[in-house]
Amino acid sequence: MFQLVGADIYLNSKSIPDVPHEKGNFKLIFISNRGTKCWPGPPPDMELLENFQCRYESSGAVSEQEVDEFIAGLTQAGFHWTKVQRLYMQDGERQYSQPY
Amino acid sequence: MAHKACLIRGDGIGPEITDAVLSIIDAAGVSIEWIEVDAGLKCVEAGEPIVPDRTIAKIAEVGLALKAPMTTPVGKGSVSPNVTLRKRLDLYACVRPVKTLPGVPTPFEGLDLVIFRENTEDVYSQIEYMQQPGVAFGTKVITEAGSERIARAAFEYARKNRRRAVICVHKANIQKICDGLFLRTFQKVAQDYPDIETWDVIVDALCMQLVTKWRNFDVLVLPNLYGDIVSDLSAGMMGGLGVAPGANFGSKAAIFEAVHGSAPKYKGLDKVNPMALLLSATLMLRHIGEEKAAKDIEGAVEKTLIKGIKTYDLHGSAKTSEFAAAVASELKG
Repeated sequence: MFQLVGADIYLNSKSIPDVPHEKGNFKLIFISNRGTKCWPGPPPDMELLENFQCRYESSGAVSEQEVDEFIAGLTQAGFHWTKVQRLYMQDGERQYSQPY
Repeated sequence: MAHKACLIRGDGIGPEITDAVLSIIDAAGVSIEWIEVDAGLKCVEAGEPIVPDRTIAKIAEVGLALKAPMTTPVGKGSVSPNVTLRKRLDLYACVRPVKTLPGVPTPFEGLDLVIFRENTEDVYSQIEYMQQPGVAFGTKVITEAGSERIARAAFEYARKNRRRAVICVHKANIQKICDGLFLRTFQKVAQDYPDIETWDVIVDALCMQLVTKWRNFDVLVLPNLYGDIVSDLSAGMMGGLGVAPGANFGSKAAIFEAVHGSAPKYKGLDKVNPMALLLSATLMLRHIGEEKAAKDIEGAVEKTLIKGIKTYDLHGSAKTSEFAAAVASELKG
């Protein structure tokens, strides 16, 4: 069974966005640029373009409404998101890829 | 003064072909201080990432590496060490010269291409999701900045090396947004190089024309996935992956590598062809200004092949070490 556990939020930002590291059930796992992780840890030696993927996960299942509210909070805080992708687990396995 | 370069010995047959190549570079009289860095299966077995951060940092510091093939462990969660290096070091241009060699017969006499494959974007961003049961979505990333720098790298190469034409390869008739951006950006960059002939071709038409009219083509510029496929097609046309060199360039670092796999079943048999890594090393020598040594090695390889000293993949019987010794002997003679 598919279980909703978080969301990838793609942001238009001139630099690594200063998004909340934790809010409600959601915890920021990484920020990547074109699939390459640029937070946390040492930033890659690469040219960062103005589109960042921010992955938020919860430790358990979350509701669609929680995801909606979380994204609405980012919009209210002035972040310009370009795309949101819900993240699912099935039988304990992530149904989404990991960054380099 | 000795040059400095990082060295990844790789997995499987990697260490054997590395030894062969280092002996030939030595015979060519080039002094290189090799800095060995860890990557590959031994890192995974030690519970580390397949390419540890310290390795990436060291290559970034030195700016240069020669890399033998590594094995990507099979299974979920594994990442390709090659793609990791390319992405973490922003090695955006994968360059593959494809040229027929004396002593390596192919039906494609006169083949002489240089492939510029964009190395960091496209579906290799590896952003994929199961959106619902039974429905997988992947993300193809093409950016103007990424497309411009690979196009510009190809045109600069063409101008510097007196190449006739730069050809953009795409599928913009179907992927109108992504490949459309790649093609439009190429056309914009091309305006800065009026001395170089340019045209574009759809990737499937290119594949057909490459095997029928290969002399028409020169420098090719492709997004990542088409570049991956066409590079190996072209490598087959020149005689196989065992003889195909490769290089990955970024603005701060360059890695030179054999493009074939680590062939674990041949590990320790002293059997495989070291030419791909050797010819990649000659690209590296040119990159660091050792043009004469690069030419000498290429000449020695040709003489060795013409004498019939070849490894099994070229229907010869020479061992890896015997082939290397023969090339080194040509250099010393």
